[in-house]
Amino acid sequence: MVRYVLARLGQSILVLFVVATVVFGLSRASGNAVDLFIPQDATAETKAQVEKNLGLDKSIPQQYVAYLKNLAQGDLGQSFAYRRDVNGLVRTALPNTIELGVCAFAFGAIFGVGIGVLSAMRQGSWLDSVGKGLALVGQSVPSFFLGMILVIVFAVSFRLFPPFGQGGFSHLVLPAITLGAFPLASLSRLTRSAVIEVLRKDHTLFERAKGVSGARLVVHTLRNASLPIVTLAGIQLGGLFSGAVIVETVFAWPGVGRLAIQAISLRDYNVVQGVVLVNTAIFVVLLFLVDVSYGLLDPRVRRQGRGVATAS
Amino acid sequence: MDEFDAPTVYHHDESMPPIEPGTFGFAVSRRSLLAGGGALALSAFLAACGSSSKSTTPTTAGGATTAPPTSAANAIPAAGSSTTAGNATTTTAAGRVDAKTETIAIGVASLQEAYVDPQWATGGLIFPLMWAISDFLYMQNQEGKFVPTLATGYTLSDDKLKWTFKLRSGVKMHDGSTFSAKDVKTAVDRVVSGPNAKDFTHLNNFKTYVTGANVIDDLTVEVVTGKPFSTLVVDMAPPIATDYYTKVGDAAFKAKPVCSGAWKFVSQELNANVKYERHEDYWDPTRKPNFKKLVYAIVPDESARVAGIKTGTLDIAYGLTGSTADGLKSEANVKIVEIKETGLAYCMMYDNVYPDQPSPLKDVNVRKALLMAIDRDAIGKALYKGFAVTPSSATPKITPGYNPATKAVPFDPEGAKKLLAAAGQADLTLTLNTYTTTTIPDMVKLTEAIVSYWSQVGVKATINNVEAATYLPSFRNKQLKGAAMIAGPTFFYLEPSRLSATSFFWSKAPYTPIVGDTKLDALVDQINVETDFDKRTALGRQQADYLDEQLYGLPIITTSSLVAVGPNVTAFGFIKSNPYAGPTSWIIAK
Repeated sequence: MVRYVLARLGQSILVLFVVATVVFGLSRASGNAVDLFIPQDATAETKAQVEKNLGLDKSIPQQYVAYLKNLAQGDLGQSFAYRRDVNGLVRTALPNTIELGVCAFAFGAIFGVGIGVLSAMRQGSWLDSVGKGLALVGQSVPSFFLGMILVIVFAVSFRLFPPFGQGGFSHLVLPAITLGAFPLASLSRLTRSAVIEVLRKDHTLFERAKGVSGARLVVHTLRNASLPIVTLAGIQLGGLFSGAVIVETVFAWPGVGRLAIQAISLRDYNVVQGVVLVNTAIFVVLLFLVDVSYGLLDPRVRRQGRGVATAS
Repeated sequence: MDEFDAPTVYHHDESMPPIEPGTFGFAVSRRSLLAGGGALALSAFLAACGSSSKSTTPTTAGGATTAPPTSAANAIPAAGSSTTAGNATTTTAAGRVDAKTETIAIGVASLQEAYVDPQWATGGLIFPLMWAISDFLYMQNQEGKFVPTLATGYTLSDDKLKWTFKLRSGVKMHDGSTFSAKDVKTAVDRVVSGPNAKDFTHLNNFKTYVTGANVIDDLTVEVVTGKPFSTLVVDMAPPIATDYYTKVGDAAFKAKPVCSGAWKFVSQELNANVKYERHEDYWDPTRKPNFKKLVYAIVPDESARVAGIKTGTLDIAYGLTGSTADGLKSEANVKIVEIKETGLAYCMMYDNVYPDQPSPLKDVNVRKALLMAIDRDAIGKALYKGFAVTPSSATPKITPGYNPATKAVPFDPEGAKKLLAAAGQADLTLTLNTYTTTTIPDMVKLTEAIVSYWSQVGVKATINNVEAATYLPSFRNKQLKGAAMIAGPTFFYLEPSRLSATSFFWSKAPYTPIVGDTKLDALVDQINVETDFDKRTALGRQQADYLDEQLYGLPIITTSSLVAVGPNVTAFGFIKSNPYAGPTSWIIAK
């Protein structure tokens, strides 16, 4: 297990390094940021001074080496636009994104898995049809559109929730539902199919024949069906942290997505790099946890880890 | 207080009298004008003042004399009316009565980098923050003219290198200290010679001229320049509280500035909001807010801002498109304010930037034909729902030198065809570059409309839509071909030379050469050194006429800024052609 963990850690560091390099290259390829930070009537001297202040007067390889050095020390650099530490900017915005992402995930996971199980257990019933319909809507409606509809209905018409901004729990409801709609749909579809597959297995039939209660049967079935669900849930959670840009914009939520969008429009290289790296790190950690969870959920994986062959 | 019982679109009252010198305002400093959207222009007026100068006590910059003390806000009209009322009765020299509404929340799409420190502010979108916290020596009235504010007047030495300002007494800074000459000196020194002066690259122009400031006495300060600096008065840094600045240092001041404006900074949540509380000891009762708290909420999505207004989460929402404003007509509690002529969309005949390369766009008749082919009135009505007008000139109305006698080039497709045929360009093909900008709503749709009109006279244009962060540097760095759309924020063109320098007409613009017309260059050279306002205006007129004759930039459409105002606001006044939120001097809460 230790070797497995170490191997995964090594892979993770490699992924971060590659991502850092690619983002660095792409940022520079998009053009010179200085042009966006000088007045329109700036002189060549002003431009040169700004370049120097931002560290952009050095060659690209020199910038890259300095960037990696800082990165190794956990320093994401200085924002060109905000003129603050990128670490501080990300530290300010990330909790907001995590707050929203976790709530959206909880909504998506609880309702998604629940609907999926119900649909599977009542396959072909009206309940199943409703579940499939919800999944279809959740996967096909763009988040910005869903967000606007929710705002019109629940904020403007019924005045149940605020239309945007951050505050108490009520501020979280609409953006969390909007953000969680897609994971809900994905998880409900996958859960349904995974549970149906398990329900068709002989051991489930045997359990039923033994007269196991419905609730217990659900628990057993869900555990057997859990590997793909957990995998998808992990990916979805990572996606929620890094892909909340549109929802954060629609609901004026001051998270990492908004920070990234603004940084991109200003060619604020260091912020873009910082945000991408942090999101990558989150993704890597989540996938690592998903991998580790396989061992907890499936004894076959644990045996594989100890070198014991599993029956095919 | 008027109740909103029917939707009303109303307009800025252009006949509104200017406000008492020194009793209202806003401050524009170089930094803000420069960076974000093009260098601000404010200067001409003051420059003119300075020139004629030898002692100009209470007059407006630019030669305009202010009317007797009259502070005005635009009262929101009763239902059914279509124009704004002139003077709000709630604003009197004796001060305003506190409103029941304690907090006014203003929704804006962005505050850019959101520096709350007024000396760090860059770009037009930062105006709201700067105007909230700072008073300046001279500030704009609602007519756009600069009037004495923290200064009561100034004199300029014969060699035009020493500006001596007389300062207003009885002004309290946010920390309770009394405003004095040292606060002006501290602000100047911070930029010019302070330990972090090198970071103020956005103020390089100011630093090029100004060498320092000397305290003559508590209420007299002398600002010294190394060479004549005609725009110094409007480019002056806002005074900052010296004791506080000295005590906390530069970095802490940057995070929590202390100045003398109507609002004290409370907190900033990045990309979310900036909060202020009223400066209770504010010196000017006619501009002291009648509500206690001000919040600028950053709400990037237009539909969310509209929802905010409808639900009362916001009291004022900036940055609406014409179609949205049109749609809000059915809202009983929402009024739409139209701030006219805040943006001018140009179609630049970009190929003129390459002096050695042939291009059909170098033929003035071709340029004229391309303008004649576009039905600009129809675009204004259809695309902008009437919240836009056809400009008669490439020079905005608020720019000194604008020629009111100039007639708009008429829509004449047959005439355009003839001109193109005569020029041998009956089957002209070109690229029209474009981008998305907040200054001109729906810029890409506007571009599509232009191309469509051109196709009807045989011109085949291909649209090259480029993301703004790439487009603007490309535009500046001569990396485009054909024609190119560009948004002109008219608020920046309060001085004729700025129009040339920042609109890419003047080949000597330090970093943005484009046209290379020697006659135009010579004209702008003259404008830049002319310190007499009237003479400068006359030169501006020549420039305006010449630009309209040459049509290097086709003036396509002049757009309005649209603001939604909720029921907690009973009067809403603004500076002419100002698309930015604030100053709040003319906002009266219910």
